[in-house]
Parts: sequence; C-alpha cells; structure tokens
Amino acid sequence: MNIAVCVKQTPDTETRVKLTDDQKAVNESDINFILNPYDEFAVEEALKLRETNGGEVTIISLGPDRVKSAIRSALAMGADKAIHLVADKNPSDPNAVAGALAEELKTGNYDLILLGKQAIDDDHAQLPSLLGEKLGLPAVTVVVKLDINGDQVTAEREIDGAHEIVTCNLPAVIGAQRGLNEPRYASLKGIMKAKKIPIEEKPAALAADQLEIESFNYPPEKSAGKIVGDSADAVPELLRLLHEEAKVI
Amino acid sequence: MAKENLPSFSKGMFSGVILDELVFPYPKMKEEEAEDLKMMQDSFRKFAEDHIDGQKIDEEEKYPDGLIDQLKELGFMGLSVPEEYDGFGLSATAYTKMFELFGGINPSVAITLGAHQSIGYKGLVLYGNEEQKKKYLPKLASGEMLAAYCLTEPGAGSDAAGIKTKAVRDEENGVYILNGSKIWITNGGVADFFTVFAKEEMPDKDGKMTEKISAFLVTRDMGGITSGKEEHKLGLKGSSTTEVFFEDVKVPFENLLGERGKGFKIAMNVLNNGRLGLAGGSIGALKVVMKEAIAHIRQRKQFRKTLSEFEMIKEKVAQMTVDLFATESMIYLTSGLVDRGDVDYSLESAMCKIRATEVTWHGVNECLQMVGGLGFMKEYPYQRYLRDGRVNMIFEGTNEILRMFTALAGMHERGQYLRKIGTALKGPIKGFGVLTDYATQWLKGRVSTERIRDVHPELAAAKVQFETWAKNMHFSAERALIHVGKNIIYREMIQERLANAAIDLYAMIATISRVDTMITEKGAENCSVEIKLCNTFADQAWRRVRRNLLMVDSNNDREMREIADFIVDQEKYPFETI
Amino acid sequence: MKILIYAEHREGALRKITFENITLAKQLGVPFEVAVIGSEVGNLQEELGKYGAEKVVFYQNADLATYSPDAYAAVLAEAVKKQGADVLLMGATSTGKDLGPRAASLLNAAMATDCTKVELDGDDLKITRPMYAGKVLANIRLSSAVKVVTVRPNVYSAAEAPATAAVDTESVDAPGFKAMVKEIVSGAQGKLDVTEADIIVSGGRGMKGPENWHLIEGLAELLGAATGASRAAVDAGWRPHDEQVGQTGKTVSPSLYVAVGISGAIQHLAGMSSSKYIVAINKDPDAPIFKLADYGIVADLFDVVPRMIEELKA
Repeated sequence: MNIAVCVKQTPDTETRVKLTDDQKAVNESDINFILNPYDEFAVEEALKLRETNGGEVTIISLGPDRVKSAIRSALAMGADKAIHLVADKNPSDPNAVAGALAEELKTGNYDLILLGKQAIDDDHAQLPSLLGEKLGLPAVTVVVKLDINGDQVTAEREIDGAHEIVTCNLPAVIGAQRGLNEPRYASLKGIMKAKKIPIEEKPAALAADQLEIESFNYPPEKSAGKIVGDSADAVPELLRLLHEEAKVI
Repeated sequence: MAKENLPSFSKGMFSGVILDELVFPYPKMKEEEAEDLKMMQDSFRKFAEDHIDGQKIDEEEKYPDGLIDQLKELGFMGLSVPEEYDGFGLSATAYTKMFELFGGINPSVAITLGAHQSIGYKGLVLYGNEEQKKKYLPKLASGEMLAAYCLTEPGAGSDAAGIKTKAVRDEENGVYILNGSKIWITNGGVADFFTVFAKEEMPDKDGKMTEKISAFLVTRDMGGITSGKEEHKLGLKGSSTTEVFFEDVKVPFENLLGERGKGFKIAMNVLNNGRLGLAGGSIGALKVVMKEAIAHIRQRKQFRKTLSEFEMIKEKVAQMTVDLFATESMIYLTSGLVDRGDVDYSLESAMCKIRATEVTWHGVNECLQMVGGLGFMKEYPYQRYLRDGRVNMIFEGTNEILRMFTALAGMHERGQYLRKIGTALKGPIKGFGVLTDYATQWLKGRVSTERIRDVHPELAAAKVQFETWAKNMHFSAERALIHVGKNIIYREMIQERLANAAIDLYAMIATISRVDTMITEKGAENCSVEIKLCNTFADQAWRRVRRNLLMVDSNNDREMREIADFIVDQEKYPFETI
Repeated sequence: MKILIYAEHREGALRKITFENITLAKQLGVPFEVAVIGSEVGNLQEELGKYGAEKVVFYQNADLATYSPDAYAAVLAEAVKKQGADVLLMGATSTGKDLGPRAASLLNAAMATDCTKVELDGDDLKITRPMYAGKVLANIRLSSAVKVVTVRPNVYSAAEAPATAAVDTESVDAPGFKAMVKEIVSGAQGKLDVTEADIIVSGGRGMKGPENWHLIEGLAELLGAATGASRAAVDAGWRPHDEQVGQTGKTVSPSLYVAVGISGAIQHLAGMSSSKYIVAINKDPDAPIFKLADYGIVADLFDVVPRMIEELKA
C-alpha cells in the first residue's frame, strides 16, 4: 500500500502564545515546535497499515525550513520517505496549502492519504476535506477507527454526540482524530535511521492567500471571580448565585 | 583506553598556569547532533508523560510492569555504547543532556539508567578488548543485559582499595574463582552483567606475591551469583539496590577487564566518567522543581501580593538561578573537554559532581521552603525530589572524598615541583596517585601565563576577579604545601577550602567563557540577562574564594579538631544549661 | 451581499446552530435565505420561520437520505450559485467542518472555521476566530468572491422573530457519494456532546479515579449538562477521549462550565475559557482555574459535589 501522510509542524500544547509587539503575528522565538499531535495519529495509522499490507509511507510537509524537524520526527517513527514542500512561511489560507499539497499528491499515485483532522495552531480543520475535493477523492474526517479490506474502507468518525460509520473506496483521504491509535514513540534506532533518509525538497506551488490575518488579540482577560466559600456549606449560596446573578440554571 | 599525561585546566590553575585555550571558546554541540538530541529528548519526554508517574513509583517502591522493558526497546540503554556495537555512541555532552532530562523527569529512572551505562558497562567501553566488546556491548546496548558496577563492600566504601572480594586463578581450567560480596549495588537485583573489582595475588616487579585489584566482566549465567533483598531507601525508590554475593563464580580468563592488577585505576576512571551524568541528572531535577515552585509563587497570594513579589522569595529565586547557571556552565564546559578527547578532566568532573549535587540539594530545599507547608506534603513533588537527590552527595565518591581528591590531585604536581616535601605527596590517598599523572612534560616549554584572553568589556571585571583569585589560590596552595609539608594529606579542612576555592574559580571561568562566547554569537544586547548572571556569580564567587583562602592561613582548625575529639570521647553532647 | 444559511438537521430535527445563524444574519442586516438538503425534509420551514427565516429552499433527492460529504457539497455549492449568495453560513459542527471545506473548494471560496464574531464592515465581513485553541484571537478577512463561514455554536444565542417562510422545493441531481454514512452509532446513552451543550460538568485528576465519576454524571444529569474531562483524566484512561476539553480535545463555549477537581493546565484553559460562566471546585486555593472562575469553592470536591446534588434534588 502506497501511503502519504501530510504533516505540519506546530508549537507544543504547553506553549504560551505570545504576539509580536504590533500584534500582527505570533512571536515564534520561544516556541518549542513539535509534530502536530493529530498528525502523529496519522503517521501511526500509516505505519500500522504498512505493517499489515506492506508498501511505503511517504511524509509530506509544507512550510519553512524548520519543518524539517517535524518531518524527521515522523521518519523516526518509521516512515520511509519524505518530501518537503518549501515555502518561506506557513500560508494563512488552508486552501492555498491544500492546493500545493494536492499538486504534489497527484504525482505520487497514493492509495491512501492520511493526515491529522486539524493542526493545533491554526485550528482550521479544513485540509482533509479540501484535499478530498481537490483530488476528487472521498474524504472521511475526524476518524477514530479505520478498517481497510482490499480497497473497501470502513471508517468510524466522531460527530457531535455520536459516531458515524462511513464507507468508501480507496484511494481516499482520512483525517485522524485522537483515539484512532496510540502513536509509537520514536526509538533511538528510528532516530538514527531517520537521519540517513534524504528529505526531497521541492518548491511549494502556492496560490495567493485568500484568507488573511489582519491582526491578533489576546482573549479578554477574565478577572478572577468570587470565592464563594471554603466548605460544602457554600453550596446553597453558589446555587443561588448561578440562579439569580448569572441566571444560567 | 583512557589516555594519560594530558593537560588539565584545574591542575594548571593550582600550579599558577591558566590554560585558557582549554576553556575558550565555550564548546558547542554540532548542529546535527543537537537535532538528534532534541528528538531523543522529545521521545523520552513523550514516553515519560504517558508512563512515568514519579509519585506512584515512590509510593510503591517499584516501577510499573514493563517500564524498563519499554525503555530498553526505545534504545535508552545504549547511549554510551559506540555505534559499531549497535549503540548510539553519544558524545559526553549529549549523554549528559539526556541524563539531565532523565534526572528531571524521575531521578529513580535516571539512576537505573545511569548505573547501567554511566558505570555498569562503562569499564567495558573504556578498557575492554575487541572480543569482549563484540560479545557483550550489543546486548548491553539493547538492554538484553542490564549492567551493575560492583566495587563497594561492607568494609570498603570510600576506601575502595580495601575490598575483600577475592579472585583466585585456576590455571588448569582457565578461570578465576570469584568469592565475596558487594553491597548497595544499584541494579543489583536486576542486572545480568557485573563489572566486579576483586583482589588477586600476583607477583610485583620484584617477583614477590602481593594482592592487587583486578577488574572482571561477570555475567549472572556463570552461576554462583545471588542478589540480596531489595534495600528500603530514603529515595530513588524505584531503582534496585541490593547486596550481590559471589560464591565460587567461575570467571573465564578472557573476562579479565584490562590488565591484571590495574583494577583500581579502572574503577576510578569509570567513576570519573560517570560523574558528569550524575551532575547533569542533578541539575535536571532542580530545573523541574524550580518550574513547579515558580508556578506556585506566581499564583499564591498572601497579604494581597503574590509570593513572587516578596523580596526574600526573589532572593531565593535569583540565587538558585545564578548558582544553577554557573553549575550548568561548568558541566557543559567539562563535557566539551571530555569530547575533545585530549584533556584530563578528572578534577573538573569531580568538581561538577560536588557543585551540581549541592546546588541542587540547596535549590530544591529552597523551592520547598518557598511553597511553604505544601512543600512538606507527600502529594507534591518537592519532598520526593529532596529525598531522591540526597544520595547524590554520597555515592560515586562522597563530596568529602572528592574535595580531598580535588585539592590533593590539584596540588600533586606542584608538590613534586616543590621538592622540599619530597615524595610525601605521591599518592596522598592511596590510589589517587594513579589519577594525577598530570602532564608536567606538557607544561614545560610553554609560556607560563596567569592571564586569560580578552573577553567582552561587559565581562572584564569578572575576568580580572578570576585572574586575581586564581593567582591567589595558587599562592595559598603553595604556602600550604610549604608550611604544612607532607601533613597536607591530613589537613582536610585546608584541602576543603582549597577545593571550594577551585570549584568557584572553575565555575567562574566556565560562566565567563559561556557568556563571552554567547556575546560573540548574538551580540551583548541580546545577552543582558546572561551577563547579569555571570557578573553576579563572579562577584559572589570571588568573595567566597577570598574567605576560603584567608582561612587556609588563619582558622580555628586546631580548636575544631580538639572539640570534635572531646565530644567523640564523651560519646554524646555532654552540656547542660543548668 | 447575500447570505445562504445551511440548515443542519439530523433525524428530522434542526440543530440549534441553524437558528443561531439566522439570528446572526438578522443582526448583520444582510438579506439571507436558508438551504435545506435531504430526501424528505418535511415541515422544517415552520421552525425556521419562528426565528425569522423568510425564504427556505429545499434541495431534494431520494439519495440524499444518506449523508455524503461529497454529494452534499456538490448540492450545496450549486445552491449557493443558484441563489446568488456570496456568503455561505454554517455551523462549526462536525457536519459543518466536514462539508464546509468541500463546498468552499467547489466555489473557489476561502473559508473561516469556528468563528466567534462576524461583523459587517462596509461590503465586507470582519471575522474573529480563535487560534491555538483560544490562546489568541485572529482578526481575519476573506478576499474570495464567495466566502464560507462556520460559526461556533453557543456564541450567538438564537432569538425568536416570527416570520412566515416562503418555501421553494427543488429536485436536484445528486452526484458523488464517494463516501457514505452507513449508520450512526450513538454514544453510550445518546449523550449530549460537549461542543453543543449549554452546561458542561467536567472532572479532572482531582476525581481520583473513574469510580468516582458518578458524581460528575449525577450533577450533570440534574443540570441537564454534558460531561467533560481534562486531559489528565482522559490520559489516565478514566474517560473516553471524546469528552476531553482542551487543546487536543474539544473547544467549548457553554453558558456554564463547572470544573470539578481540575487545576487548570494551560491547554485545558484554552479549550474552555470562552465559557460564559465558570465554576471551579478545587481544594487547592492556588489552582490556576480560580483565576478564570466566576465562582469558586475552595474545598474537597467529595464534600461539595454530593452537597450540590442533594441541594439540586431538593
């Protein structure tokens, strides 16, 4: 099975996001970048499918030079090949990213394209569907369980308050959600092996962004509220406040 | 093989020579290795987040099932095995950084990993022959075999030369018969591979039979090896610590490690090597505890101010930062020296171990103090890190022994040079002599200098302080040698002061080098905090150096000895107020 | 400018976000129409009218009884073109996020996901959407001719504004069906999802174990709330991951969020800080959650929660 996994490099979840002084951008200087956690599920699933079906796993990532370390992390987990679509920065428009990725994916004759359901920085959650449409392929997003039998795909996806069982044929695009699997840790052997795998560089064929970020704000700071009490005796007062002051119950 | 007769920065400093090319510029890791390191760290961090619960390990006094196996599978047992034997051949710098991470996440796990590879199989890496390495290192790297270092015995702790374990040659069968027992062996209950030090009778150069220490590679499957019950300890509770008994263990001749009779030197060199990992592990723990405590003092309010607004809290935070910064500078300067491969780093690694374990002990204690009563509670990690860190000042050479080593080995060459005291200084503590083959040869023909190269003007004052006090330490050491003569080996309080001065001076130069190199790369305007840390440390350090050196000449040592003798004679504190 | 609102429905019932979007469109003062896609779409126009919809178009095809993102996207993109809309407004629900990008791609439109503020700026839209799970808010602009906007549920409250909706029914072709929903399996007891819930009761590490979760569930039931969990509780295996609130879980904006035994790690706070009211119950007075909480009780949750249940029952 010829599998492509599209990955993104994101700040880790512990990051306190700081803005530049003009609030036009995120200050990247103190950020610890990692492989997007949802993409790890995608990589793991690809590796598992390779283990049962044979084939090859290719990592594809778009972005500036620093994304190579995310590519290496995915290779260290056990992927076979890697392509870096070089861009001088991460585009703000997911549609532009999807276009460039789709151009590359078209050339690879992949049976399956896996990626995280969203990246934890931009939170657009658009790529799996966009890739599906651009490649004319079925796409199943937010997938927590994946079965592939021949070219028959049965995927369980999370929807609000329930799960859907979705079927389609390969080739297909799958957006991975937490719960799909337990990603393996990169072993030191894997890390050493990954070093020796060349990362193929290609310029990203990017269209102009049609989604522009004009500025950022910090969310309005909530001022600390009232400590109603320091024992269970405060419960009646709390309920009164919720009922009469906040009017939420 | 460990090389001999190499230049040593600190020994030079004791002799009044500053070998500044050994410490400038500050060593830097190659970009490629830095990238590998980050991935290894990420891998361990992620694994630890899911599988290592420090509080649980502490409470249950054991690791969860499968934890060690998973660490093996991920490759964390083969960090210091060279690549050609299926290991990862990390540089000393990368290795120490990994131990910083291990020690931060869980000191217990760090010690299990450290006993295995910092000392357990390190002798094999340093002194083993090709066949031995081929036979064992791949298995040790994969963790198929776990290693332990067996030196300490009930009767021989710091005085390791006094071991009683015997190896008797059975020429007919080509084996040594090993008998004896070792105590407090880390990994003792779980190891399959033991680096064992034992005495054997052998002819000396005059043909007379004497007992000398040899080192052996012993595996559990040789039979006759049993482990005692797990010890209950103050800390590091997940790690295995047991007695190990050797009863008629048949060790093939080919499992002799290094030369016959050279075991003590091997034992000491292995420990010299292991100390950096321990130093790294220590400061890793402090960094983690600091992070916890800082989060608390930012939140917690008293008198309508957060704790972080109070000046005594600020003082604590600043002091531990200054000390940690300087200690870290020492450690990674030293690891850089190890990686150069052409420097004697035995004193420096001992100084790093002393300083790192004490700065951490003190820092963790201050963190506990900052968070108040909460620090005393078991559900918070402060007390656990305090307990876990306590033994660091005891094992792999107590800090007292290491201070003696630092001072005596530091003065050794100078002592020889000052013929007045003749050979009295040779081997000041039995065995230390083998570690002090300092390159007199190497020094000869060099232009002796007491100055170091120019540094950035922001650090100029610190540089002058270093030069001034390094020179003074040299003079103090020399005066002590002249005045006290061969009795210097008994004057431990003087040794202690000289060692403390040397540690502060080495920390000063390491910090100056680190920040100076950083300024060259980034520009002074981007290093303002680091400059402040360096200058604050230098300022505090030279005052301590001055005090220590003053007390070499003027002190209460006689009274202190007499008081101690009196009290010990009374067998208790004998005074009453009424 | 003209808005087309995609009416999301499941099992014959419209989802609340549709009404919220109608209210938003009315607030903006922009003409809008509603599109409903399905096989038999019944009398949904009555309810849509209640909130102020004046024009509803049903796109009907027997095959559309089954949800398929590619098939639905094709119909929806056609609808946008047919009705001459330049903004497609949807809910940032699992369906909106699944369907929206495909429709956007067909329309060569830029899309903004999970928006928390949509304002009119002359002929253009000024949009605010959280990024980094809410650690920052981005002010964005879409420069494409057609724009797709999905709005976070619970941000705009639906306001009734009775009108009579005129109804057009169009039979459409339904091409595609590359991916099809075979069945919907409801969660445990068809439980309420945290992203849509008006009230959420969440438990964290302080709960000490899954065996104590009856407290969370008991309180949630009395409040009509969904149950959530912190990452610590999910990672420990106490709760299923679809309950996780935070950066690698779900981002929620309920009216009331009750955090029980949750200290408030940054990645958790990011996921729930936009809740209208936050109640924290924790015995550690210095827990970061109290910085965010409107009301807090500093006490053992094992005393407080049973008392709450008792009082609410009374």
